[in-house]
Amino acid sequence: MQLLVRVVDKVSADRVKNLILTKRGDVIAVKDDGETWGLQELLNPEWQIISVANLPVAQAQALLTPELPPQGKPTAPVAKRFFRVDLDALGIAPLDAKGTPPPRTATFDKDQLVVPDGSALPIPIAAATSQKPATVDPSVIGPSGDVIGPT
Amino acid sequence: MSTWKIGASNSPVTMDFSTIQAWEDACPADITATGTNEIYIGECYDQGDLAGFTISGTTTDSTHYLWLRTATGASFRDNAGVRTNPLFPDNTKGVYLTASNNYGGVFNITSNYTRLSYLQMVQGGAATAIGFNNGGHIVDSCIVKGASTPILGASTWDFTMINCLLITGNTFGSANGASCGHLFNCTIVDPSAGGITGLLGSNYGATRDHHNCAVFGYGTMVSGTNGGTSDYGATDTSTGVEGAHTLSGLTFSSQFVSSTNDFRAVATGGLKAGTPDPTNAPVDITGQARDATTPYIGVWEVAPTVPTAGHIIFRNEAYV
Repeated sequence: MQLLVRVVDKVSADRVKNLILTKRGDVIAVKDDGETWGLQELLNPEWQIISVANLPVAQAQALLTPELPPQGKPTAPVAKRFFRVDLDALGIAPLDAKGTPPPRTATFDKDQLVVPDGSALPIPIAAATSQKPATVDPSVIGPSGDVIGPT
Repeated sequence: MSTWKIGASNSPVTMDFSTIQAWEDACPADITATGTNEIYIGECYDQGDLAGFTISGTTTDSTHYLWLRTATGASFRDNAGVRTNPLFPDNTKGVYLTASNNYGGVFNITSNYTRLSYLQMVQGGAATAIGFNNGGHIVDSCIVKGASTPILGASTWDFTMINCLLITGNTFGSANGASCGHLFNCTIVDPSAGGITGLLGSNYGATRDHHNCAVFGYGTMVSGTNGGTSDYGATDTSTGVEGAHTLSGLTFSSQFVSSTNDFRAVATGGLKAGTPDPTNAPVDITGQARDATTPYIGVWEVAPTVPTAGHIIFRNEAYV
């Protein structure tokens, strides 16, 4: 499988929107081996395509799972991705000081990417993937969950 | 304004993005005047089915927004046989987006003012097909089919749907049609005729209103708060009927070419009972001009009958 992975954080000056945007290690898209990418997907320095041998399609697609809003709060901000790939563990650096991206492609085996952890996931993936901490809405403070200002 | 090509394959046109999600992720974080100051457009090509997506986190406003639409000639409405093809999702006749997730909406729209145009979107999983949050969204001339509820709005804001065909599925049990929003000339149907409610309102504070909309196959036409002045509807049920001039108790199977897989209106039904809306819906889902006096309710305008060639009209006039 091929994973299109963000290697640098996408940031917003808006603190709530910043929580939603994808961050380093988030998988943007997945494709089968041999499928082609678009020009921008190949050239954008904020992404890298990682080939992962022996990774089942279902496990790759699970990496696209979004964070779900808390029960009863469907309008709460949530991150686009519930999991991330630990790029540091794979030795994939972010852009260097000159903005030079890492090599456009890198190949790993599933066993390098995934280490069993048995956590309660919808699909028994996971590995050098990890579940991210839940997004905390900055407009909500205190245990009551009361919202400050308009939502 | 920036416009990007999106398609699942690189032939015959080379794409900028092979996935909608990558197009969305490449969007600058702020496209308002304080940022890149643009309308960020993705044009989908009919080169293989595309997958679901989430559009969220971008700073937008009413004149700077994301717009996902079809490229010229790539929509079902551009198909040469659009007036004779069944009005139903078909991935051989235009850009076709599909997903099968069981969580959230598979086409999630959160960035304010996002627009979707001329797409076919089909969800095979249990979740809502399109999930809206925040507001100002406009969906124009799209076909949306869910295995369950096709549209869910969850916000104190709103969205607008114009000339959209919304199809409820019952794969996971009885479901609803649309939740919240302002609907103009839409057709909302459950082909199983076992749907719960056609149009819901008051979902997490949001409301809904409908104008010239056909709602068929549900036990209840609407429920919840009417957020506007709904009018000129048509439905087969007698429960929850709402809006001035709304027709109720019509026979589902008599209004369309097929009540299971072709929702083009027929002239022999009762849908020619709408009111002109030149602002929102001067044409139907295919671009057919609507009758200026009594247009059809729903997405489809039956074309006026053209006199058969060969008739000669003699007029008693003299010319000097």
